[in-house]
Amino acid sequence: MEPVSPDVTSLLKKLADGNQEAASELIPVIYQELHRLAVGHLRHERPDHTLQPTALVHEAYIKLVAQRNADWQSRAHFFAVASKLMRRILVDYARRHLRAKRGGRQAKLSLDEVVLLSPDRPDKMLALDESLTRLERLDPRQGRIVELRYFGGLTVEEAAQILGVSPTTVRREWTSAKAWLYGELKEPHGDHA
Amino acid sequence: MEITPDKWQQAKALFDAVLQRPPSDRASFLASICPEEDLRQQVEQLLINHEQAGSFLSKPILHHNQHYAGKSERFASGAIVAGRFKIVRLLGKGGMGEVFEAQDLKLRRQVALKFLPEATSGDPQMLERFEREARAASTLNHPGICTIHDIGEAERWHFITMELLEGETLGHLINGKPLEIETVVDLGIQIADALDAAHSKGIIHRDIKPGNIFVTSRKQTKILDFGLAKLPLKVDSVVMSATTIDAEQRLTSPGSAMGTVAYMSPEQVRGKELDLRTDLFSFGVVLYEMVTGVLPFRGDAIATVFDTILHKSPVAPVRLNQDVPEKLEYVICKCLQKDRGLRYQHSSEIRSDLQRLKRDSDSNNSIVEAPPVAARWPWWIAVTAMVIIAAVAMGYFSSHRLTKLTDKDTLVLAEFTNTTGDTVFDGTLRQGLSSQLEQSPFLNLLSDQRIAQTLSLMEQRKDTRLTGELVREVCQRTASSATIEGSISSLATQYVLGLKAVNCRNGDLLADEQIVANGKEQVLKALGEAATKLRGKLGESLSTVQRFDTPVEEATTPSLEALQVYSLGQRSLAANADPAAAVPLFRRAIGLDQNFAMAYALLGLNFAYLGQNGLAAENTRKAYELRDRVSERERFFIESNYYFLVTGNLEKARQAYELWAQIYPRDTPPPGNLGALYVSLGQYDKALEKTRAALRLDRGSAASYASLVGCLYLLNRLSEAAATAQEAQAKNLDSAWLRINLYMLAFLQNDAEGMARQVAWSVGKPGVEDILLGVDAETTAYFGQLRKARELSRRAVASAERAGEKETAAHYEADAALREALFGYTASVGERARAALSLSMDRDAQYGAALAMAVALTSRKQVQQVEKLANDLDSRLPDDTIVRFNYLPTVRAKLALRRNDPLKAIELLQEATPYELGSPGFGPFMVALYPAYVRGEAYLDMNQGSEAAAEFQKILTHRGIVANGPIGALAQLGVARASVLEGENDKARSAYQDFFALWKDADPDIPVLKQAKTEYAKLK
Repeated sequence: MEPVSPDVTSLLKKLADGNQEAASELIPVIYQELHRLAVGHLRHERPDHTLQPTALVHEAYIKLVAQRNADWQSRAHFFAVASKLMRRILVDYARRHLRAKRGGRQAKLSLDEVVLLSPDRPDKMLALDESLTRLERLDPRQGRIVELRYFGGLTVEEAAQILGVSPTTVRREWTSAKAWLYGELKEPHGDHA
Repeated sequence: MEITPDKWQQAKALFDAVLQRPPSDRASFLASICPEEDLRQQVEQLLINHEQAGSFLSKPILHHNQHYAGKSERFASGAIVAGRFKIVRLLGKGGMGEVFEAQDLKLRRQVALKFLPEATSGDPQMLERFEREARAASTLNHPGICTIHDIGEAERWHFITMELLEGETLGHLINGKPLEIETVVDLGIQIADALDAAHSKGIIHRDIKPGNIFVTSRKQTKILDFGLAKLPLKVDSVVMSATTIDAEQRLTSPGSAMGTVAYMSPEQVRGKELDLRTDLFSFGVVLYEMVTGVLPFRGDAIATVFDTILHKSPVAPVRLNQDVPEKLEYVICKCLQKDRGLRYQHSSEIRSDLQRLKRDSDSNNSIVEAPPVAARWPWWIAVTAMVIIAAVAMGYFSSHRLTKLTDKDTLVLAEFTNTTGDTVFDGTLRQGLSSQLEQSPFLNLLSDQRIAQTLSLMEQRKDTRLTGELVREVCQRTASSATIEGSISSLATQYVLGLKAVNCRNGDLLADEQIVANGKEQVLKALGEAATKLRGKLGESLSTVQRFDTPVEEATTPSLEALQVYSLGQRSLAANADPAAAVPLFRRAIGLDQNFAMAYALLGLNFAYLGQNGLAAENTRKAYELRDRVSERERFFIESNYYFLVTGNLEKARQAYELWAQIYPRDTPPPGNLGALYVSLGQYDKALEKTRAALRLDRGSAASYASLVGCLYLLNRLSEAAATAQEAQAKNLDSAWLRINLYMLAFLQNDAEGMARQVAWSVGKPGVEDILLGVDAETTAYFGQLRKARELSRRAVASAERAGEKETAAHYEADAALREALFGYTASVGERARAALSLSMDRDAQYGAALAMAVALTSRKQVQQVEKLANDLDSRLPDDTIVRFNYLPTVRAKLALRRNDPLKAIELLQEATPYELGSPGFGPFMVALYPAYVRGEAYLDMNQGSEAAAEFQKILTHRGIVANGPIGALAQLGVARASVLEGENDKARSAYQDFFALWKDADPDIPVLKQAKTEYAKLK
């Protein structure tokens, strides 16, 4: 397995040292890295797993995570950034997918993109993203929690560690965030349940 | 539902509180604590949402795939299976079902358990077959095959117990990228051996693919699932009946169907009876993927994949990975024969061929365990100008009767037979035809260098006209496939042009073409048209003929006369590798056609070869402006040189070369120049790799050999450098460049006699002598003999000026100025620097002068001058990677030190860190590691001894890079001073002593030496 580019490692270090600017540098690097892993995987058409579409991105993500060293400080930052990225990637793909569909130009999407695309309905993904953005405005920490839990796949305990709060707090915030988002999302679609 | 952040906080708090209550109490509780109507409604809504939400967002968007999450619905860890196996964890999940790591409680060992899919377990007939196969496979006992221990049954599930392996599958290892050739061969031998073991017991695998080949952490390969593929439970069998899968499904499950069909043999695709040779085909696919990172047979639908397997030849691996040795390519091609009768018949044959390959490459390596080349001298820039490199046609391909050419075939262009009596056609038409054919990524012309070299082996003059028998012999000797012979004759006012391609082994006519030109001015146009038609007849695809077909009169020049002089220049360059002689020819060609882009480009390049960088830039820029008038290939040449030589934007240059290499993978300039580029950047390992690639493309290139020697010594690999130089000389590939590198090598090996030998060799050779005098001046200065160095520099300047090379002369002046400044003779620095600048304002001369003045700085006025020079460089070359990240930070840091602001200096030098190992100066001007030196000084100023010592030590460690530069000696003194600051007097004393030993024959009055002695005396 190819090691993550040294950029990532050094940027993570910087981030851990409190250099907040590193975060903005890190995002494009990790994005690329994820993309590379995911696309590399596709190109390779690896036959030994039956992977679901999203699992491709996911696997790229897991791979990237697995390569991080055990330094928790770095890992925490990494997760924080990576969750944001997962969100961005999925939303971007959803948006493009939707646009292509509307334009009747589905063929324009490359194979990579089709496969990377979330199998869920892209319009839902976009709606979630918008609502989450509103939630972030109401309460940034709750927004982060949703991002970490839902897009980053982190457990309550992990998210708590990253945010430096107790798991109880995370659990509480998560519950009300979900309830709020659910309300936001069900409205335009009528009964969602 | 709009809500403000404040309100949300309240609502949230209420919601949390209410949730603590039992559901039945919630409404009343809420009413009791929240009198505010609006807010209460919000919270009530939240509570409703909460109840309805169910599993909303409760699973992450990407749920953990079982392979990674290690969760199985079948067994939890700790479960005991069949009373004997304790499940440790889930290892993977695939077409075959789940695989667990388990502990065999009976035999107390770790094993893997592979469960069959339920569908299989329910079918008694299938089960019987499974058992039979598994039993057969379990008899295989070979280190390269995953051992099957047993089969078993637990509840309704059937499983196999087998060896537990640590490592990863070959699929993971490849991961879309080529593996090292050495690894491919090593693993390939193991796989071939394992296949042989199974085949000799009559067991065929039928599903050889990277996902079924495991590579353990000790690089042992293990083939998985032997004998199981025959069972109709694998993915491929599904696929066999799945050609109707709709597009959507196929796109979304690339892991299953698509992956597996790609490795199928043609007979498998056709559903025929299989024998062991199916495995050999699949193995060929795997090898192909190992060397290229991609599959040979691709398609976005199963049907297309099948079609390519049955009918198409894969792209030659070497086009995707230049490192693939031809013998390995041969092995792969033989495996991939569609007719199994033409394939290898036994795996053992593949094994022997691979073993032979390994042996050969091992013994090669012992001669030239060659690191790549570094480019330090200007002429390394483009190893060969517009030369197309000959790839020796593989025996395998050339043994076929040649009807059409393949892209493996090399052609030799003969001179035209000119019966018109008009000498303007001599040489000209061959050049025109060559320009036209060179555009083709398909055709491969034998390079002029290679022709000249072959002629000299045949004891012919290098510039002998290539006609008749001679051209046929050159063709045969170079294992080329065919000759292209042209003729021109006149018929009243018309000219008749003829072209024919002849197989040089048997004399068969491959293709011919005749065309009539109405008048002399139409000849080039007609030639172009004939050449285009010939390309098609020789087997090139229509699409590349169309894409790469700029008419010759547009691409090169419409002027026959200009083309004639240009071709003389090309020839002179090829035969004699003498840029100085080629310059006037290209100038004359430009005189005849002011818009002759390629003539400007080659003129620029030759100036660069000569170290005349200003002129190189000027002419390259001109070529760049005219680049619309050239062919695609020529444009690559011009654009990449433009970035490299004019703007200095190395990232853009790198991209341009990479792109060029992709389209014309056999051209040497891309890897050759990338080698030089990486040297400038200080990425010597990459430089080595690229230079090796260039040499591999043209084993007869004197320039590539010289570059390789350079790269090796830059990496401190001295004995390899020496061996490579010997090899070049044994091949009669001596050159001035090689000699210069031999001088540096002798210096690094403390071989004074060796250095003297090279200096003596150069005496009286214009354009070479000055360089050896220049480097010799540096060497004497390195040992503190400054008076002698001054004299040598003076002679170097004079010699360069005699040869008309002002810029090179400027570099010697700049070197001398820097040396004076560093040694403490500050008074003379200004004058020397001005002398340099009056000779040339090229980048390196200007930097050298500025740095020298910045080191000396005697007056405010000088500070201003240095600032002005730096700002000028900055505004003139804003994109130049070296200027931005190496030169300017160094000069400005030095100025900061002058202002007693070492902190600023260190900050300025921060950007230089990734570039500081680079050897950026073209020509004899060597300025590697100055950023580190100045940083070391800054730390000394800040009394940070250990940081300072680290910087100076860096200079001492990279001896090959710093070589005989003055800071190589002064860094010793730097270490001494740093140690004093650290209070480590013993270490300091010994460092001072080292410095004095180095300067034992130094001129006694050098200020820096006197100062060092004073410092040393204080230590006692």
